[in-house]
Amino acid sequence: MTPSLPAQHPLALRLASALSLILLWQWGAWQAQSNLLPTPSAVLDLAWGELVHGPLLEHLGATLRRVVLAFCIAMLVGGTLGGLMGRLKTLDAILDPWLVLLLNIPALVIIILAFVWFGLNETTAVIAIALNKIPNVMIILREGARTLDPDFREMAQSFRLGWRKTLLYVTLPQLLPYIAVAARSGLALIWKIVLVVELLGRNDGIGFMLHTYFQLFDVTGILAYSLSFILVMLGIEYALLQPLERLANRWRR
Amino acid sequence: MSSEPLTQCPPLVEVEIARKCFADPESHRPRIVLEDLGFALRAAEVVAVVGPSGCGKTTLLQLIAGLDRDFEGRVAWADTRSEQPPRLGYVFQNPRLLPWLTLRKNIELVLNERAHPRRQVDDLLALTGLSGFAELHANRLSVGMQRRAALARAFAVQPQLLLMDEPFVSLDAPTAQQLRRLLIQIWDRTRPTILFVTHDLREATMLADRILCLSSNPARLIAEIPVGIPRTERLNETATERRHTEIRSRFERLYA
Repeated sequence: MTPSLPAQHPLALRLASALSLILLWQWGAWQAQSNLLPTPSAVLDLAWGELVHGPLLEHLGATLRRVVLAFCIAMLVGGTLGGLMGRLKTLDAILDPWLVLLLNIPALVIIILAFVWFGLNETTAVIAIALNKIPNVMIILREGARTLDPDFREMAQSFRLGWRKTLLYVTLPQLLPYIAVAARSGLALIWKIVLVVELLGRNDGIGFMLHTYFQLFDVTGILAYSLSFILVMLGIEYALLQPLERLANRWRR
Repeated sequence: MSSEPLTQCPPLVEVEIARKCFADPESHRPRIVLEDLGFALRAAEVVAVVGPSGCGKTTLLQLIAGLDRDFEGRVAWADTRSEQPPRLGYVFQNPRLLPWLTLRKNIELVLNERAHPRRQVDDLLALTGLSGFAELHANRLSVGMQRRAALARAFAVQPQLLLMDEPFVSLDAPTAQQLRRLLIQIWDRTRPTILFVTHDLREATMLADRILCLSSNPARLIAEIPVGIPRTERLNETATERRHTEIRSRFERLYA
């Protein structure tokens, strides 16, 4: 049996699917004839104009900086705490109620309370984003730490590898799949939350611009800014996270 | 030097286990695994531990290695007041190589970084017949090769005490025999003390100076059989075979 055409050309299929979405959008815009649904080319025009002559890059940079900072803080703090909770039963018992609580507070509540209590500044914004992500990382890494193979721990212990070698060569490689899952799901969560934070309490960034265009009911502006941000995040996902994950999994059969 | 009687060598470690319990998974009551188990290992001595399956031989090795401190009794090392042996090599029942590292990295990992281990690792890989596979990831090797690599790793640290938990089990007979010969060769180079668990009385006869026989439920030392084959005769199959027959009949009376 010969494989069907789409199976032979998965990339072509993906491209065709994406193209059909744009065509559908174009067709919808023609049908509506309203400035509430601009055509793709109008959005592209505006995005290009803002990129070359306008403040798009500046706002994109501000948002990306918050994403990166919050991501690193969340991965470090959540990963360390979650990993320790997976290994130490006492710490798990102490921190678990906090974790459940934090996990169930809506993102918006954390953001509003953070701004009210600690002021409308950059540090608060980044911490508020990270706080939303930390419990998620903790849960994934706690699960990972629970699956650590005791055989390898005994090996490390009997050959006296010491904590540094054990962490680097024995523990972290076992946690890597969990770290990768936490990183990817985390990035997706963070870049959704960062816009809310900016909308509520910052005067730069993509979220701030969306707020401005929302007040003007300017859908073209909203789409231009959000699409350029989505493109950048997709770029990070495909050009950075996925290749890194493949590299880390190279040894697997 | 090798003609010197072993009894004159100082003990490397004295093991006195009064009691070791595990919680029974169903009733949660403690179950005694090892009781009143005492023996000493002298420097450069090779000792086999035999006993019924599941009697606690692996647990005994773990207590000596310091992997499990939860027992009544003591493991006392010569020249040191610490509870851990100075340098330990451990060959586990399963090879326990790290699959994300290459074979070479697996061995280099257990060595001191300042020791420039490259040549030493190359030598060991050649001895264990793994020279061509050094740059492969450990999970790409066959089980037999992984076992050989685990032996190479344990030898690499030049241990003062080498613990081996059924190191040659589930290997085909020629490979196992080849590895036993290798063990004798390597012992001859660095003279570590070796304590190994086995089910194979012939293997115990060939490799060991004496055999410790354990009972089960709980494991106690029920006999200590000196083998008494000179080291130079170990590879002579008729000598080991004759002694094996004698030891087997004694063994069968013990566990009758």
